[in-house]
Amino acid sequence: MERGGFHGYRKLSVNNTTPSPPGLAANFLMAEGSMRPPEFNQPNKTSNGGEEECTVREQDRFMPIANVIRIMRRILPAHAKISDDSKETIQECVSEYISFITGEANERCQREQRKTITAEDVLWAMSKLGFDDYIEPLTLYLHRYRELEGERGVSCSAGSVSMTNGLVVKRPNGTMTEYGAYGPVPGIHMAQYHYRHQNGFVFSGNEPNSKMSGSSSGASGARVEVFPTQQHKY
Amino acid sequence: MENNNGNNQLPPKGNEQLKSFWSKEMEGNLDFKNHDLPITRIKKIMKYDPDVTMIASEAPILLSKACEMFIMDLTMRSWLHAQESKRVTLQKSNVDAAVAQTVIFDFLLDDDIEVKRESVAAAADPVAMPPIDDGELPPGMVIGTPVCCSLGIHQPQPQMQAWPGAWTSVSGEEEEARGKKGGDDGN
Repeated sequence: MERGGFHGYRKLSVNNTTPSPPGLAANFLMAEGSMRPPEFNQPNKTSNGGEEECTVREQDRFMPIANVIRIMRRILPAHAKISDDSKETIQECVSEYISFITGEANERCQREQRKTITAEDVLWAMSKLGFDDYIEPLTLYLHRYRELEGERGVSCSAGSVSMTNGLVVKRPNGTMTEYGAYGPVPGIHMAQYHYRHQNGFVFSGNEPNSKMSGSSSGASGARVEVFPTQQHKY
Repeated sequence: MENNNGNNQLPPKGNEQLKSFWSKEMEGNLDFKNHDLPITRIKKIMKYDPDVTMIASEAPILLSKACEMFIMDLTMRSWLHAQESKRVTLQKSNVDAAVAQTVIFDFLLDDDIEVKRESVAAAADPVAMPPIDDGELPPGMVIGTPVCCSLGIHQPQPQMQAWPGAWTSVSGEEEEARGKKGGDDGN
């Protein structure tokens, strides 16, 4: 499936494979072009403060490498060493991953004539693109995040509050329903059911994965909400 | 085949270990204020796609955690390749081999790995590839037709390496610490 927007980023990625200095001008041109819709950017940048709006720095195309290395070390044995070129390769792969998932999520948004990419769109995209093993822990994460947001309310940081308000403004009906009626639980269930349908359609060989997921869910059976999710999956 | 004498014959448990890790992680104390990856940077990368207009605040937060999982997933698979070469240093060739061998990472082949395709094939030659078996590998890896078949990488091999055992087998070989760049030809 060809995606015009994502294809644009691939061009940037091609530049990434060459040394940075030769491709710098091209990168800036591409980046500036893609950064032109400023309406949504402006409030975020203002609230975050200290960020350049017109120029996209080289470092902004990747995750900070120190963070990437820290995450790598969490899964590697203590004596393992990491070469610099493998650090950079994985750093580039992460940006590619973000663009890959975002492109798929955005396509779904456009098909459904929506303008805002939601967390559910991200989960749907990952499921469609084969990252089924990531769905369950991320669903739990999202669920707990929403619990926290609901509990704290004003106690959250100003940034979070304003972002939440923005979300409410942009999707008043859905959002109100979700938060007012403790939406995360039924939302997640419906999402899982939907994803299961998608999986059944796209991935015929997904059954073993379902069993594995079931086993994993059983291991973390302390959570009551997880079991309804299992039922939907099967 | 001498390379595999020290390898554990058990099937790889990296994926199961990773799932167990994340299962425990999600049950623990989650810090939603300090993300391991900056949310603003994720948003910027998402917006490089000119078709992307608005992003709900939860989406980059969720992607932040997804990227952590992706990094650890890719790192673990790469480390398994380093283990097969009896190394304690993770090399770029190990990452390239892990990407080439994993179907869900095919999207990376177009850009980052394409220019290294030959080196990936060369790096893969001396390494014993784990067999593609539904019972041993994550189902996601066997979905659809592998794009990597043209590289001849999906070759069934009886030798497998267990994640926990791999640590033990390498801990005594510190002289391998000075890893070579590129593929390790033979022993």
